[in-house]
Amino acid sequence: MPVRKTVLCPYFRQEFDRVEGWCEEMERRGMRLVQFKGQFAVLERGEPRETRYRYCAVETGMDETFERERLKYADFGWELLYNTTLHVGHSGEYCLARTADPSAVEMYTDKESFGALASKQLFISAVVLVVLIAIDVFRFLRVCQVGLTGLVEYERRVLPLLILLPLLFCCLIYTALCTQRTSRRLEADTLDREYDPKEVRKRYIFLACEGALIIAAIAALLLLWLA
Amino acid sequence: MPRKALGALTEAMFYILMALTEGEKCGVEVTAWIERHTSGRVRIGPGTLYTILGSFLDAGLITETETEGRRRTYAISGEGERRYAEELTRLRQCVADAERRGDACAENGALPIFQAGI
Repeated sequence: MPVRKTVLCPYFRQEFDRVEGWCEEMERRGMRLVQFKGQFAVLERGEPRETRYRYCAVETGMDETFERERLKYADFGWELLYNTTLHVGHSGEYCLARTADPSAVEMYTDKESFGALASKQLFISAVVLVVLIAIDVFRFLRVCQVGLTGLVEYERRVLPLLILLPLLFCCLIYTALCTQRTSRRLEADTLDREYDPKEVRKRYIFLACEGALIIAAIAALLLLWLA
Repeated sequence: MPRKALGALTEAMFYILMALTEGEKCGVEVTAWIERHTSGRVRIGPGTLYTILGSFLDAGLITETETEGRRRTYAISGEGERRYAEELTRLRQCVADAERRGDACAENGALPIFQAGI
């Protein structure tokens, strides 16, 4: 039974090239991607090898089962990975595929078919995210405006929430910006799969802070509810 | 269902249509045909191929003739043949224009495009 390990993926799944580069680096270290579970990746120990990872747009409008899709790409030497599908925008569904065969033709040989499609959908999802955040921030500010004095004076427990929520909004805005940056890279055909340990370290710190913020916000909400 | 209009044909799109004018083919056969007939100059990846085939199906340029088992076979439609012929004419005109320009350059003492290596 191969040894499996669940690790935190330092990149958001919408950052296609970064995720691909990270998976390739894990393969070089002998850790093979099995599937994604949210922000976590399940890796399996194996022989270190040079492998290419690429996202590809899976046909969703044709009622294809995953198995049929998998076999279709297998003909070209690409292995479509189960449970790595990412929904982007209205009808975009992207799945990770990998190949250890250096002679296998690159997944996308033009930038028109993938770049434009993915870029458009990523941009839409980033805009939707920003709009949702803006609505929430507006509502939050209205609450603050109407009853901030009273809240702070009589409900001191609200204070942590007043500090935590804007920070969480900042995290969401950062996610939206990353998504938009990927979209721009796709459009300009300047994908960067280079593995940068410094950047990965920074991302781990960011994700740890984000996780702590979420837990703190939930705890603050629970406290408020109990009070 | 209204068909999605397709913009200008890219090189990959043009070659996929060309491959299908020679008869029904599945995905792997299409890419192998293109590679063979372009002496390896044009190679089409599976992601590009299936995205293009999907948009061709939406635009009615091709049809699925067989979906039994894992293999899906595609055939060019009347609309696809018309679009292919249209693109071929356009490309011929482009080449003719370039060649005419080459003749004019030669008359003026400049290098014609084929000699300049463009």
